[in-house]
Amino acid sequence: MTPTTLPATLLPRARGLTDALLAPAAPPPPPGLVGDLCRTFRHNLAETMAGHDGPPVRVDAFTIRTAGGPPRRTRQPEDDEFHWTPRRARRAVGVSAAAKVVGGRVRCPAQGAERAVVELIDDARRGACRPGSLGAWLETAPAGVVAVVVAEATAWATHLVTAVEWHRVGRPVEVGGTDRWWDLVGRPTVGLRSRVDARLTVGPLDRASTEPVATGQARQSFLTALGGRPTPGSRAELGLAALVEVLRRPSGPVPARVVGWWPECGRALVLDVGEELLTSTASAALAAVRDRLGCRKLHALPVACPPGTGSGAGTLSGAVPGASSPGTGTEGWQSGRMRGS
Amino acid sequence: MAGPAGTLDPDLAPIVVDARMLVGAGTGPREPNLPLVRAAMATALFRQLVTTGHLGDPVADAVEALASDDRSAELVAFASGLGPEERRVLADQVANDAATMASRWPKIPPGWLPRTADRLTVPLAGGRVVLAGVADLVLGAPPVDRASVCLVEIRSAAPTEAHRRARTYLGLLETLRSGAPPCRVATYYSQTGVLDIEELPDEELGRLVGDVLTSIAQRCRSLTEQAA
Repeated sequence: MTPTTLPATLLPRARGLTDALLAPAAPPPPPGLVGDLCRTFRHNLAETMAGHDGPPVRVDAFTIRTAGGPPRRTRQPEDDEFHWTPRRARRAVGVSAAAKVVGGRVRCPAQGAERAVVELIDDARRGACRPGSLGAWLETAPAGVVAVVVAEATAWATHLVTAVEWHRVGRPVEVGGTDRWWDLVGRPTVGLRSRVDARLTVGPLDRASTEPVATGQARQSFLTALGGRPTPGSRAELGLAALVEVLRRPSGPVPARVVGWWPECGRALVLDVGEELLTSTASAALAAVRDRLGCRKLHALPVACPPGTGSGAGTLSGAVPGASSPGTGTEGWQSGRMRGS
Repeated sequence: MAGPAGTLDPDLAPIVVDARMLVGAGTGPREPNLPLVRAAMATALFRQLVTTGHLGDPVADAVEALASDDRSAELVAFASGLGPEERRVLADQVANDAATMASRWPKIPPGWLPRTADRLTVPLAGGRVVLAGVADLVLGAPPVDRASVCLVEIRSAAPTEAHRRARTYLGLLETLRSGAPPCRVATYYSQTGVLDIEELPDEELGRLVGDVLTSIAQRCRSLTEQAA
């Protein structure tokens, strides 16, 4: 990890974060390299899945963070059983609230959170929510619990709304939005899910324009707020958004950068999207899949690359240092720029 | 800072410094007891009041709020096991806290950006040490060029010197997190409705930095001796 690039006393923080998000993008990786990377990843993933059966495997930031943790045999059944709590709901509701504030539909995060909860409950009452969804849970939650959800979401939204100087951000900007998935269909299917809080356009666009602009070769910066504090595994967690984007559209524009923001400690991690981030994230995603499958032989697992994929793509193999423990690897961490105190 | 903390194994869990450790009240989780349950319920109600502007059935609302948080499971279990007399006492205390709160706290304008249970965690020494705290209420936008936020802690016990140090510690965390000290820190006493407010002079923050470093050094020595 390189030293802090912004002094702790630099104010306002939002200016530094906005500068980081909107900074001119570095040249994107060559299209051929991205294509090779995607092919190699698909190949390695398919090989990893060979011989396994069962329910779909989903990989998200949480999966990557916890991969390499306690072996599955020692995990308790309830570890994998999801149930809603105000803390688990805070991000979904909070980002929705922040979107309402940034979009000018409400004046402040508290109003946004309240409205977001009301909308979710209304959806549930209209039967527009599936069982087990956030809306369905909120509809039946007691008043005391709903108040905690609104409180948690208000705090999350406030952090997000105040993190960026939104008036400097041109259009199009998307706050919240749906999660992005990339699936490798097979038996079982593997799905990679990325979740970012805001997508900002950078590059050749006129940032002063308030008109929606066709994507063209404009590139995006992703902003994600996270709880707690940065860890060595945060790099792969953040890189997942970029990886999913290029897997979904290998010939599309590569995202410019991913910015992680930890409001609890006021720190940010700025990652330019390039070959190194994409390959190390792909390794971490593979490791997470193997972890989910209960495969504990990562280092010994031979990973073949299809002919002609090049040496860069070959780094997706399980031999990448630290790939077995994406939550504790440090080599990629060092190339991230830390901002904040 | 790099001195004592640098001897710690970076792969081990970090030393977490909180206000309790700073005032010598121990480390690690506390055994549930009646005052602790009351404090948790008062905090939950305060949160609800700030968020929604009203309180319903205080005991029911507080229990529901606590039960929805996995981290409060022990407290909820303890409260569930109370005898009738203890339950009555607790209910009376919580009702008193709720009534006092409702009379002392008007609806906070949303434009003040009130947020509750705001966690502050400041990693130091490469993450080997983490300064941690929770502000029960934060008001104001993050600083643009000067102090702009107020922090409030809620207490259900009688005022002590430790509370003053605890809120100063929160102020220190906010300073490290946002780059500017809070303009005010306060402790709200749910039992009496008293709000103890103060500004944080630089000298006081400086003194506390020294105390925090001493506390960390002691903890490092203790861990090193245990490891040996």
